[in-house]
Amino acid sequence: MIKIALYGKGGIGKSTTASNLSAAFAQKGCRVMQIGCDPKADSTQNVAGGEQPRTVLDALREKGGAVALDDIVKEGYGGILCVEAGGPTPGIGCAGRGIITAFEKLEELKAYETFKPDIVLYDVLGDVVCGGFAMPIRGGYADQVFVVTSGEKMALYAAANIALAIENFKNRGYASFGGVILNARNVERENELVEEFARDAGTQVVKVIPRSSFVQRAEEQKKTVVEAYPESDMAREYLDLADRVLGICTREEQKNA
Amino acid sequence: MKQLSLSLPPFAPDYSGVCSALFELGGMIVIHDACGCTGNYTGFDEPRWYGSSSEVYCSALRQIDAIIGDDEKLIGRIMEAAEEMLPKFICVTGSPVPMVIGTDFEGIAGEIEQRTGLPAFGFATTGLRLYDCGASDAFLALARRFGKKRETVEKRINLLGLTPLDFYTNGNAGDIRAAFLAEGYTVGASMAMDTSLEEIAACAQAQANVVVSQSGLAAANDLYSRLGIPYVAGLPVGKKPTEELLELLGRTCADGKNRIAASEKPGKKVLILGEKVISDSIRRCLVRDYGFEGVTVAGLFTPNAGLMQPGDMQAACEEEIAAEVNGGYDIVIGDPMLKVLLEPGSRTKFVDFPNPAVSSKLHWNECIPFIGEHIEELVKRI
Repeated sequence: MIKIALYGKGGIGKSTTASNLSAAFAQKGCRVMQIGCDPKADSTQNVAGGEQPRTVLDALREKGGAVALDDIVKEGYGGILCVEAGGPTPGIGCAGRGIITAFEKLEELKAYETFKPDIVLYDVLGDVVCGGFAMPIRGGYADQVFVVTSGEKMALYAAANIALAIENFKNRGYASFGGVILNARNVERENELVEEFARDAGTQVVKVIPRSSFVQRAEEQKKTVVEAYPESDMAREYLDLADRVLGICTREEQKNA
Repeated sequence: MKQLSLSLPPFAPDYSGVCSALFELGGMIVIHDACGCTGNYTGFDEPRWYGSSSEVYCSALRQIDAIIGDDEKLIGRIMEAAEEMLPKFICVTGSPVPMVIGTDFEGIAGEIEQRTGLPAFGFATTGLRLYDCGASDAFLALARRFGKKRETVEKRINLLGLTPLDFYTNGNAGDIRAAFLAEGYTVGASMAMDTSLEEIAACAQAQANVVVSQSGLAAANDLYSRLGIPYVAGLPVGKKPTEELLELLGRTCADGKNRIAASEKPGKKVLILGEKVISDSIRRCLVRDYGFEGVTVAGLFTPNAGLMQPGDMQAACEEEIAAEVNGGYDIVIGDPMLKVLLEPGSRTKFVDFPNPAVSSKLHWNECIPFIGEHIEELVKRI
């Protein structure tokens, strides 16, 4: 089982990238579980087939200890298993603790053993703001962390924070920094700036995802580009990204073995 | 609100279980808390604390530490103390605040181990689970860490699941050991009272394990699945049940199959409330040695599917315990603090059987030895 976490600044296109990546993996025949780790619970909206799964925290709120996997896992496009951790009531509670609780519940219900996904993809809110949002990096969860960024200053700033969190956990043998996915915003010297960041962080730019109107058009239909416009150049970009991410994960796995 | 207790105290929590399980083994135990949990353990859940030389420390977690999440500060302090105290191992265990902020105990323990070269254990205890979960986690960690393939020694056994929270310090642990020694067995590790880390390190020499409380079951299952050491769950209480337990152990040593001492038919004569393996063993004795008919057991602590038998009950909160205490039994055996739950005018006879995990130091000096023939003392009171 390959376990990947996608981090990056809020609004940078993480969930779009995550969903297209999941769809591309699914198209290649992999069984994918996509876990949204954002209180907004909007990670899987384009792969869930129009109807979002009930969030783990909502299910816990409603059913307490009686929550079952059927309550929180919804099969979407290409058999993608969609899960949303969810969050507290806006303005109160603790979102980080919510992520921890959702992860504990998935483990308790033996979600990974039951569904046996080939790939688990954690789509994590913006920045590594606290212990809860670092959970996907920690032992037993993601093996590789990929950061989605543009060349914008704030996006690179968030990416640097995430790199720091990965570095902090290095001694504990946790997730490695798989690389940077450049979701282009067409800012000046964008490729150069992101490559420089990747070099400084001791990693690589995995792929540059160009801007494309297909993304917005597919999202309007609550679909991924891979599903809505499978013959488009943009779909091919995501399929290529999936190959590259898989290549890195496989190489790292072999290295660690 | 179901969890609300109006009359009963909170039972011993998981961090007390971890500490109690590791207390005698020469390690340094650090509770990551703001002092309340450490005080609760040393003051109310550990009868061996006063006069002991065991190293149990509080990390003195403060608000700013929780906000900043500075693991390095905790690790640094532990390293400093370890250099001075030279412990055999280090244990870091949690409390409610670290639970809320998601402290990475396993990761912290891993870093401590890397830097000191000493075995280190991290437990994400929360204070919200019960002591048996914490003790179970600690015994399982010991088994996984030290249970490495060794040559089997015939008629050598380990005792799994011993803490004063279940057995107090009035000789029960020694009596369990003596019952097996008298039959020609040798006891390797008795996790973890009257034993040493060295004996635990040699635990895989055992031909079989004896699970003496529910907190020993996870370790027993680990040693069975990894090393093929089978187990018997039960205690030598009374005459016939002791003979039967020894017979079961003999069969388990011969055929390598796991066994749980047989259940008895439940009924409305007697209700025993308490730890599951202990209560089951007392039930067997009341039925087999003293002719009671209709003895029911209700587990008070964490439900354990592996030990539940037909007719068994489980109480998860004061409301459920009260319902069981008032369930129309002639006799109820349980911790003295449960007596208050009897309805006014009840004809049920309540027999005190103090349990340190329930009433702590209020009644632990009145704990009754119950292994072997000592059970007579309890039977006399019925």
